[in-house]
Amino acid sequence: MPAFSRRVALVALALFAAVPFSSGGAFAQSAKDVSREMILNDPAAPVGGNPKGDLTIVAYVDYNCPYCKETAVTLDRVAREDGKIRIVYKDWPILRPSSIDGAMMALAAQYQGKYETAHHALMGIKGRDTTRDQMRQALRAAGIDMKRLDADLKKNRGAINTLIKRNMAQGDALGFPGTPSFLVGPFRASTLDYKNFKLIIADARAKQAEMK
Amino acid sequence: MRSFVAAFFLILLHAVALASATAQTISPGGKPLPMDEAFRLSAQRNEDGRVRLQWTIAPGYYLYQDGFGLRSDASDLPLPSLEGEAVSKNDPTFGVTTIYHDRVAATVPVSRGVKELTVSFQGCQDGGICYPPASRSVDPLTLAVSGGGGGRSGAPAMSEWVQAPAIPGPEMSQPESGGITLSRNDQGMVAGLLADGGVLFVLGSFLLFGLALAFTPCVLPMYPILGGALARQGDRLTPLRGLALSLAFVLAMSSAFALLGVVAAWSGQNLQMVLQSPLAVGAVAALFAVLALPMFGLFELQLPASWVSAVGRVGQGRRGSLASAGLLGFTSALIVGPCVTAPLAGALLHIAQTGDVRLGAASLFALGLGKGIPLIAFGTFGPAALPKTGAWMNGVRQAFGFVFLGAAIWMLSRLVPASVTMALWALLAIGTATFLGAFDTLSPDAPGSRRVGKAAGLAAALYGILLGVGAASGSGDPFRPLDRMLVAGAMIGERPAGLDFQLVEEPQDLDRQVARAGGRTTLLYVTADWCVTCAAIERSVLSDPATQQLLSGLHLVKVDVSENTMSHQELMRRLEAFGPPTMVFLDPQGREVSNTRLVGDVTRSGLADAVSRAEAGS
Repeated sequence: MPAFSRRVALVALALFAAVPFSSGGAFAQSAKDVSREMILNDPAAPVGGNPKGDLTIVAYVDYNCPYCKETAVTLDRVAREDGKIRIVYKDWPILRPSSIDGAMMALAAQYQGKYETAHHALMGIKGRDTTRDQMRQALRAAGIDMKRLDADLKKNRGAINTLIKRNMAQGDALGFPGTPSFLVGPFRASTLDYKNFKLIIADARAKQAEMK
Repeated sequence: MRSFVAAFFLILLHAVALASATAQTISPGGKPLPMDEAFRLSAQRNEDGRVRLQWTIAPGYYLYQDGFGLRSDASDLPLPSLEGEAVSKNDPTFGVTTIYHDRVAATVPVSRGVKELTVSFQGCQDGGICYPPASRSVDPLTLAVSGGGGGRSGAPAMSEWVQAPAIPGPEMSQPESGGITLSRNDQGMVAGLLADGGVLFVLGSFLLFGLALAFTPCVLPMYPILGGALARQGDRLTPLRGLALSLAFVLAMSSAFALLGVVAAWSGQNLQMVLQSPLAVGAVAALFAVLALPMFGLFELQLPASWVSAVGRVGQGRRGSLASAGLLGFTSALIVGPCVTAPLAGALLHIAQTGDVRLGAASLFALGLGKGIPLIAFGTFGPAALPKTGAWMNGVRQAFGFVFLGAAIWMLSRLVPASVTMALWALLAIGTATFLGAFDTLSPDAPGSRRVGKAAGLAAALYGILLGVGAASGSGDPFRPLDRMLVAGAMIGERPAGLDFQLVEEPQDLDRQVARAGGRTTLLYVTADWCVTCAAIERSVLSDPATQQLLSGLHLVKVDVSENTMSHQELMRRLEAFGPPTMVFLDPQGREVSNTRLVGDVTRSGLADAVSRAEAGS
């Protein structure tokens, strides 16, 4: 345990080190990254649910966060039943070193069009200190082409790092204290159960209609 | 009874106390605290020179045992044993972890020359969020704690997104009775009448109330039922016999109301609601179906002899038919048209408040009698208007046979899907058409009456076909059988938008919904599927554009108590409602505005009055 914070620092350092080689870079981190537009419509961020839905839910989550695992299932169900919810996934790996591994692999799966599959596979792993091996096993079991994933990860490491950095900056700018944190229309929220998701969605739609 | 009421209020008080106690400590609505407020770290020096680090953990938050780490300057230190109550947390989604609630501490030896102690820790809001690992520095000399601030908790939040209104996490079960305070001003109808003119005045008033309610949707179904019971008598029906039968019917009905009071006193439950169980409703539907069969002469033809003697006996002999009329009266009052009216609620309230079962039950009996007076008149003078003998009598019997079948379907509609009900209505309409002669060939010299009958029969057949088509297309509204098919066409958008009621079916949702009023007056509308009056209110009052306009500024909450479940009972207890329909108005702080509660049927103007009083009083 004592080595824990140092490990975090190392992984974080590695992440930072990778960033300057990518397009944009850490120092280009601008107000644009944390703008409303980039929070809701970041072209690089994976989108789930109904991309043309009338209500957007932005989910800031971590693959080692127990409550994220609970709500991932609920949000999926709510969105499927509703049919008009657009989900924007923001991988925000802040809890554990392996959270960063998980976020990078999930985002790499996007290049084979399987972000949501990977997302749910990773959220489906029990425990709050998932190892990289457990993650790879779960991804493979979910039907992710791991060879392709590794290649995509290698090729796009810079872009993925930039996206994660941007997510991190947004989470901080939004003042979220931890994960899961959601933006549901005009509202911010954390863990919600099925009923409360429905309630907040109804409220958000009402509020949106009011503002129009 | 008194002890029951006392216990009820004790529970209520307890719940309120609990609510205010936790409201101060658990953040409102479950909004996660900034990390440094959730986990407050302080450092002290012990007498032996060691440094004691203590985390004070906000209620509803916890720290992971394996989340602690310690460094002295740049080197890791072994973590000393933690002082606190370690709890094992097991959850299917994250396995077993050891956590600390309330407080946890560690005592650290500090060597000379150490400039900085760094501690790390990690925790979560129970059922809410998990915080990233935090790291804080402690100066070994001054014991000042630093760090944080620059982290996620300290960043200024973007104000475009606001915290969702009062939505707690699923595990942060909020105390039940938090948001709502009921009005205690109302003296009660019975007490008021008693003060005005004594017991007889109370009973007389209830008789009049009953009379006033005699033609409401709750009582109207009883006319065809009584009519059917009378028609079964056939030739033997005289005005005297009609009087006896309708008297038996009405006395049984009134007794049922009196029994309501006794049962309410004994168990605190509204017997009418308890009887809305699928079993009771199904049994009554079956009873109506069985009563209908002899009207078509079917008993004699098809049923086994033992059946005929068992069921048929009900209709034979003087005492038998009186008993069956009584049975119908009794079930009608409790199961067929279970209506909560203002006088009923007043009497039940009187019993609940004073324990005076006798006056309460007597008032309810008088109420039933009042409702029954027109029924008795109908039963006594109605038969005189009917022709005595001949083929006519058969027609009348058959007509009431269809009425009974209709009653059976109407009862069943509380149990089966709406489209099934529609299909049954379709069958009934086509059956009626057949009996009216819709499909018989008319000879050229047929009398006018047969032609009228055939025309009516054809109309019934057409309606039956429309209903059948509607049922097949999944529609559930017998008055708009084709709405499912038309909605795909141009009709879409033409239907009025209606009122946006938020639905509450669980007690814990009630407070959440009330908390979302956002400065508006809240209307809590207690309703149920089987509530006849509620259906009438929804059809004629709530669908009125002016009323909708009036209500659009209110926070509208529909409290559904259709099933006699614990949750639904608890909802009614919380609102001190005796049943649907009840409308409760709350000011923006969740307090009931006194003298605004509406029980039973409401009119547009009555509702408008209550709304304006509620908005003025809040």
